[in-house]
Amino acid sequence: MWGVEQMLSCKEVARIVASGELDEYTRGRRLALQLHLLTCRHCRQYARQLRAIGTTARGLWREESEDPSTLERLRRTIVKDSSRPSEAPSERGEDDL
Amino acid sequence: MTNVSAAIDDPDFAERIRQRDAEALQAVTGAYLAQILRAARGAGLDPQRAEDVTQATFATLIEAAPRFEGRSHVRTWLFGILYKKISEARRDEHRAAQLEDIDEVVEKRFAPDGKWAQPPRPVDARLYDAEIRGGIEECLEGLPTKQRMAFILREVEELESNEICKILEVTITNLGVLLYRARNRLRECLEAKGVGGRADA
Repeated sequence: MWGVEQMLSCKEVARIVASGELDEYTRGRRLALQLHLLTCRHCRQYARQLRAIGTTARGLWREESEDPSTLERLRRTIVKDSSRPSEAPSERGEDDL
Repeated sequence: MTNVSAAIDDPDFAERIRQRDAEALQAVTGAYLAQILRAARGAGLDPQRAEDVTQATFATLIEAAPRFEGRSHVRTWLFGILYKKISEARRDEHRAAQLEDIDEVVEKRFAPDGKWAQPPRPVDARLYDAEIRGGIEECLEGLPTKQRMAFILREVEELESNEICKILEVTITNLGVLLYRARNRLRECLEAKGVGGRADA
């Protein structure tokens, strides 16, 4: 039914999973991937590990760096900058845009 | 917050940015400050440098505001500025050069027929999830800035591929390569650390 498309090697599966190319995949191709993952425990393990790494990173940074006093202090500094009209050229430069 | 982001999505908003409308600039600051600071931390800067870079990012936004064309979202533009600041702050060519062989490392895991030659070490799922937390920051240290930013923007900020491509100025194919390398490098690094323990009895 799926023809050649179902023949994904582990290496291809790993590449698809890690690069996130999946988004651009056709339904047939996605199905082939699902099928492979269903039958291959190594690839399943690999995919699960990558997922866990992403989820953990998300959790780690989302719970950090939310210190309201730091944010408020930064906001004040920036707002002070933004309400000052652009009179004098600053030492910062804008070379990098 | 909702009306702020609605205002930011308004087509007239770009014009207000160009005019350096204080209210518009403050709306942008309010909406994205926390996210930019978090991304700066996620990119590997220590708290002080992350604050400095965040402040510098908004300063550049304000300075360059008259040139904002509004072709991409102001958030995309802001992240683009941040990325350039981070690249300057972490001049790490030597690090990149020294580590650029992750492709080879992954290559060796597969047999010529594309099957696993060295499969990922089987680990206990719960143990793995708990132990990644301890190792991931250290493992992220080994990533070149671009890979690390791609990973952070995708996994932590959950931005769409198209937006990440604009921020990092890469094609969609390049982004795939960056994520592939970042994720594999992290996985390899964690595995080398023995994260997850031995689940195989």
